[in-house]
Amino acid sequence: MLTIKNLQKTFEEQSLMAIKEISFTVHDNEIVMIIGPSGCGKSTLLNIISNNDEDYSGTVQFDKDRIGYVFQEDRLLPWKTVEQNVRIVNLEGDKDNVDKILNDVDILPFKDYLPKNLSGGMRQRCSIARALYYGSDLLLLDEPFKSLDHLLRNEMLKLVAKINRDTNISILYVTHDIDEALLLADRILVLSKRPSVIVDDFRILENPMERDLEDTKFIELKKRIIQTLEEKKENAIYQ
Amino acid sequence: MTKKYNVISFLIVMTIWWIGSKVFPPLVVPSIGMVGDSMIKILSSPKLRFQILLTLERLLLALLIGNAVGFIIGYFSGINETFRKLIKPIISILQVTPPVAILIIAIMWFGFNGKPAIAIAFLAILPTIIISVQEGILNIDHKLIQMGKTFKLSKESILKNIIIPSIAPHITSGWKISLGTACKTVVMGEVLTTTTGIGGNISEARLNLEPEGVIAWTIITIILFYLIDLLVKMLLRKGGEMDADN
Repeated sequence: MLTIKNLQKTFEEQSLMAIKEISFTVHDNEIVMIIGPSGCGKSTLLNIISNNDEDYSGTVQFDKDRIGYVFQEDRLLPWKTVEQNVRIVNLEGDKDNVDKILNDVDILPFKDYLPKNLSGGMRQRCSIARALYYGSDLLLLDEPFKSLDHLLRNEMLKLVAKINRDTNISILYVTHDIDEALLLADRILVLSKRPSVIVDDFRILENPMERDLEDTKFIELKKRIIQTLEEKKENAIYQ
Repeated sequence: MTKKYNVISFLIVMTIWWIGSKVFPPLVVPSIGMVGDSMIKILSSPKLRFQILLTLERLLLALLIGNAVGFIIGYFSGINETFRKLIKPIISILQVTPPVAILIIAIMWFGFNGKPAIAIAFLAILPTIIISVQEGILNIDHKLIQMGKTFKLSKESILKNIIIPSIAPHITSGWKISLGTACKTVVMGEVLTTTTGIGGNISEARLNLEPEGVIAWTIITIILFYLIDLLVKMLLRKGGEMDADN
């Protein structure tokens, strides 16, 4: 379980408060999606959770060991093949498991390819495979499918749902795409503009990726999120 | 494909040379056969082969010191902006200073013994090495390092798998340029400061009015350049293969 209490983040150099008092938990095997306008501090929050930023106040506790990260850009090493990019994060891991994971994310035939020879979707699959081979207990995803087309994005969301269903990995996913959140999340947290606070928090009980967004319930939920964002931020950028 | 063009290019040079040797007297353009004979004479004489080794030793010393000092300075100017600003005018001065001027000062310091040749080759390659290492470090993608830290890669692994491959292309091109510069300046230094080594023998061939000797020693210098370059490439490839196995 990930527990965040009274988290606050200020960029001292710019005297800019990015996050103001955020508290929430991510339970085991839960998909929590954070939605908010661009620039509200979503990536900052993930950087703090992944220990890439230690300059904050409040507490961040994770009761397990490994936190994997699927970044906005794939961040694959251009000089290593798909297989080497995956293996590098866990050199003591079982080598045979790499093939299994690459097969699970559907890029096994491309394991000897360099990233430059892969499409954007394949590179993100490789990035997900890397986080899985790392043995992540919690997977952080920072708008990883932002640059993909609608169909491919849906396919990737299904992959994330499958990972969550087949493993015990908890997922914390930040996005500014409301539909993405409504399709995948067990729980949605809505952040306000900077300095961000949680302005809405609700659960969705239906199975991820089996939801009909044309259903009245989801249309209402979408309206509610848009309304909240509009109330809290005049210039919010969202879809 | 590249090999095909290399062969064509080689044949063009040989043809021009052959035509030149037919048009001009041997004192101006010696024939290919004369130069070939001269090369055989050099390579079959232990005393002359030793002269090649002397140049090779000076060349490797200049490359070793130049790369070591250049790497250290380049590294610090890559990671420290103040140091980079301080070192920039010095590099610019080194880049425009005529090697001959440095050579004369080096003769005053070291005498006529071949050491000035090492000194000018060292100073000639230093700016190239510093700039290539510095640019390599400045161009490291810090998002990749952040990825490494996120997945708790060891410092050694980040250095081996992220930092070194990031700066390697810059260092490789810097190395190629510096090797060519070092070959030229070492031989030039020898011509002007000593009677030993390839340069010393070029100087002697000039005094004896043996242009075929000058060309033969020059060709040996060029072969030396390609052999060192090939050796370094093979070592780098071997290193790369060993990394891929890990």
